[in-house]
Parts: sequence; structure tokens; C-alpha cells
Amino acid sequence: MFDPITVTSIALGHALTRPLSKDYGWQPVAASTVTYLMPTEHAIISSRAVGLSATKASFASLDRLMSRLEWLNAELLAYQDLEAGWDGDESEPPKHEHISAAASLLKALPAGLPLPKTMISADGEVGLYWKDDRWLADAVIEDKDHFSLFIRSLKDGNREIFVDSIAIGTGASQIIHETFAKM
Amino acid sequence: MEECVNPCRIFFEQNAHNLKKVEKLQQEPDAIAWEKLSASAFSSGSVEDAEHILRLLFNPIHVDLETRKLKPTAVNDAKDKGCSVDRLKMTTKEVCVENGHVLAASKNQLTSQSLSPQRSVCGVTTFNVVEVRAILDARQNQAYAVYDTALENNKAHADICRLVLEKNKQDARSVRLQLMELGDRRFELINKH
Repeated sequence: MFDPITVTSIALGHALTRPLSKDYGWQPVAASTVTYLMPTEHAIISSRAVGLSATKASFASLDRLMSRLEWLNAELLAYQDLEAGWDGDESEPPKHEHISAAASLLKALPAGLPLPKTMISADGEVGLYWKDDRWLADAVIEDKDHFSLFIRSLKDGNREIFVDSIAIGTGASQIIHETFAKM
Repeated sequence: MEECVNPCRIFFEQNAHNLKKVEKLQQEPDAIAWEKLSASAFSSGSVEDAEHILRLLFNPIHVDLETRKLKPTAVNDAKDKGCSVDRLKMTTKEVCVENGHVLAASKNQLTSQSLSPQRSVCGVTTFNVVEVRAILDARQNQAYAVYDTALENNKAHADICRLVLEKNKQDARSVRLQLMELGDRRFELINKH
């Protein structure tokens, strides 16, 4: 699918666009759990590209897997094909600019934060969400330039934080980082 | 003898085809009290706390197929048209699923030329009514009500309706995630018919 240089570029690009931040306690999944055509937390990168001598079984086959980030972007892209009535008679298609905004938001997520899942509602709302044993959270696209972030702690008395109208841009990563860090 | 006026039934009959009826319901000060009244002439009685209700899912886009868990959007219709469910004291899961397949097939015939995904019963979950009614917003107000919106051809039909206003963004988001969590506990995927 990609040559080694492209793959390395994707991996490095991923690392560079997700700035280092707090360790949220996330652990990458073991390579052995990766299955055919399933998304993976690992960037797609060959053992040779990172100068390791790992056995073949430790690394995903380059032509059969996509990174989780690519998978999420592909899911968002697929939402563009939805037409009016896609989820019941009254359902609305998403605005393409909201899908682009969600893709931009994905790129702005701070490193160390688990990657989210995508979601789309029958009224065309596009967003991302996180769910684990510590919190429930979602980021909903409000317009082409803004999103809102909600986090509900599952451990700390169901404490909640909501931040409205966050600009999707250079400062978004820091706001997301600081908001999750409060939980 | 003069029949008692039932404001709950009047509301739901007048808004039977209103796809935004829940938004109107949110303006009714007695919406929670109406849970004790019957919402439909076809119903055998209001939905009790001890009941279990079943929700069919027709679109896999609302399921995370990797974890086999519901996405928050799976229960989104509770905010506008009502989240359709069936009362399990009046029907069974098998009957609901079979009826769902029939409904999906008839809808698909009408939209066969569309690029949008075809409908099919892809999952099912059940809720304890008392747990749905126990979901609270930040001000400790009941967030969801459950009404016996029985239909002529489905006496078991009921609706979960969100009582939190959309403009209260934090509460709206909080209670959506809480309802998703409840639904996730007993959610199961169903193979394509």
C-alpha cells in the first residue's frame, strides 16, 4: 500500500502533530492483538525503518493494516456519503465542513491521550468520543471552526467538565490536555 | 359519566406525527407527573418502574464494531422524536427482532435507490425503567421520562423522552452519555437477517 519512506513519513508526521503532553495512563495494545484490517494504536512502520531487529511477527504487515488515525479519518470521510434519510425519514446528512473540522480536531489531540472514536447522529451532528473505566467524554463539532468538550469522570464522584466553543487550531491541543488533566 | 381529561394522552395524540415532539414535551411543567398517566388509547396502562424495555438498533453506524459497544448517538432520538422501545411485559425479544426485520425491509424498499446504508436490525439492548428514570442532570432533576405510547399495531410501544433542554449543553451531553452507558450493559449485536 505504502512504500517504507511514505510509511515512515506518516509515522513521524503523526508523532510530530501530536505534541508530547501528560501521560494519561494509556498503554498501547500488544502487537499480537492486531488482526486483519482492524485499526491499531501503532503507527504503521517497519522494523527496519526504526532501526530495530524485531521479528516479523512483532510488526504489522504494511499492506494489510492501517493506523488507527487513518482508520478514524476514513470513518469520518465515509460520513460524507450519507444522504438525507440515512437514519430514518427525518435524518439529515452531516455538513462536509463539520467532517473536515472533526478531521482537524483529530490532528490536534495531545499525545498521550487515547485516540477517540467517531460518531454521527441522525441530525447530522459529528463528533468524537472517549470511553474507558475512568471517564466518558465527547467532543462535538459546533461549527466549522469550533467544538465543545464534555468529560464525565467515572471515578471521582461523577465530576463533570464542559468547555464550550473551543477554536479548532493551534490552541486546541493545550485546552484538551488541560481539561483532561483536571479529571 | 364524564370522562376525566388526560393531558398526557391529549399531548401525545396531538403530537403523534411530530418528529420534534420531545422538544415540545420539555416545555410542559407536568411532564414527569404525566408518566403516571396513560399516553395512548391503545395502551393497557402507564409504564411502571419495575418494567424492562427493549430497544432495537437499525443502523450499525451507532455501534463501535471493534468493542461491540454502543456509540452515544445510539440514543440520540430521545431528545426529539422519542427513543422507541418495546415493553417486555407485553412482548418478547424474539417478536421485537422479527418485527424489526419486517420494518427494516419495508423501509429499504422505499429507499432502494438511495446511496445511504440499508436498514437492518443490527443490535438489541434492554433497559430497566427505574434506572432510566434515575438518570439525573447536574441540578439533580430527572433527565428522562418513559411513556406508554402504544400504537394500534404495537401495543407494547413506549418512548424514552429526554426532559433536559438542548440549550443546557452540559446536561444534554451528560445524560446522553449516561443513557448510552445503561444501554451498553445489555447490548448485543444481531447477525444480519
